[in-house]
Amino acid sequence: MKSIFTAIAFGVILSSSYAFPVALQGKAVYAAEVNEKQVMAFISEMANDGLSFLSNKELTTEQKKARFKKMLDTSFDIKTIARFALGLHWKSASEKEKTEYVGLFEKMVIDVYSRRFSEYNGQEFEVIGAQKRGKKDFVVTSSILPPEGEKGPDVRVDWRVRNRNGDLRVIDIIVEGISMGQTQRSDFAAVIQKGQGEVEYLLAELRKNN
Amino acid sequence: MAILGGIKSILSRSHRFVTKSILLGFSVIALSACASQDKSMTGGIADPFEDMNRAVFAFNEAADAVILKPIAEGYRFVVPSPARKGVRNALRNLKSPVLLGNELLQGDVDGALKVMTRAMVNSLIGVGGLFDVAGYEGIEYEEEDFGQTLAVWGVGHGPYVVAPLMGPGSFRDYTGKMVDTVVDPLYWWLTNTEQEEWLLARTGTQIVSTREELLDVLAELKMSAIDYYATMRSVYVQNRAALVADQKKNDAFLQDIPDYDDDY
Repeated sequence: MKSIFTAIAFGVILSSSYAFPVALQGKAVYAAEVNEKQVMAFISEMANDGLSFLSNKELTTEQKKARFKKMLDTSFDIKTIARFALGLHWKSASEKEKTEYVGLFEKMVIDVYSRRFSEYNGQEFEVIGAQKRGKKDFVVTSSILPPEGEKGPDVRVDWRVRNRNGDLRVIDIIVEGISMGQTQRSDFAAVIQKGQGEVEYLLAELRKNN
Repeated sequence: MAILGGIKSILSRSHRFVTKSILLGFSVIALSACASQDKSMTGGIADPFEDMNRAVFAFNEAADAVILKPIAEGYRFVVPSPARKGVRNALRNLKSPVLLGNELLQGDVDGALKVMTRAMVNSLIGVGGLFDVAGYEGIEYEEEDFGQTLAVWGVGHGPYVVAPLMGPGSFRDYTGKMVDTVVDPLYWWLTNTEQEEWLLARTGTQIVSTREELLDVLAELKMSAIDYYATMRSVYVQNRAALVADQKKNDAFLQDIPDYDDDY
């Protein structure tokens, strides 16, 4: 009897913490076990959503920014990305610093990418394949193709997607072999080193952009 | 017959020089193994000369801003995109002998066949390499050099080096560059026939063409980085790792990201 109760309680907790918020955000809900095809569909849907607001000429930059932020919140694991970028310094940061850091990090990501919104002129997106990496991760390979009728090199973009019980989230983007996470991590490590190992020094740098 | 004789004489003359440079290269790499440092904080490469590297990097940045970048921008402004692509294709085609050698040394028979097919198709149908006909047919260009070959053989980067006017590199990769230069048949032919000015012209064109290609990427990188030097160092190491893994084929070079589920 007790075990049934536990199982139900467990199920309720699981579904409330994972499925419901996700469903409310309008993202597809997956079973805990996902396959390569589903992860490819996840990236493809997200990218198409992204392209649809990027190419919508009626939206202002501010509106596009808001859409982008929503996409980050639903389809990316900003906390994991931010934490990876901080590297070993995460452990030495105080709770207050961590909270402020994650906020500043997300803002920085939005700023960096929204600067590039205007560069979009009809490039197309194509998901090529996916491979499982480790227990929870998939790497989805995709190509950004030049606008129709124009010639130019394809840009290879790999997405590292982590599956937490069916909640799929992007945790790294790799452009032509360059991981955004690794690059950010090296940048931050150098900044903190210059600040004698103080995370506060990095926070001060990040605040400057606000 | 005359051609064969010519190649033979070039080979025998180049032989001693090449052996010497390769030996020099290896001793440099062996030395570099002694320099140890915590690489996790410096983007995956040892950087024992960081202070000097940063100074040279700043110098390169300044020189780039007043000389190279304006030239590259002018080149982009004046020369239309298809022509710039033609230049890039021709330069790549000229590299074919070096590419072939490196593919073979890496034991990549498939890659070697691709290089040969590309060189033949592009030289003949692609008007001396101006058009990348083979690439259009799906046999795409792959960057190879002796630095990558050394990596395939298991040689590590050694220390990170920013060379004046030449930019980021490592002991291993600069050694590779040296070897690639001196084994290039084109280099030998042009030096032997006293047409060195063509070597200079080729190098100059290569530099401007590459810089033009990187105009947007580097501008973006510089704008979003807090510490541009550290960012470039990381990008250099990652780019080389991807090239060594021939990234079009596999993603083994990707580093994992820990699972932080347990202790948020």
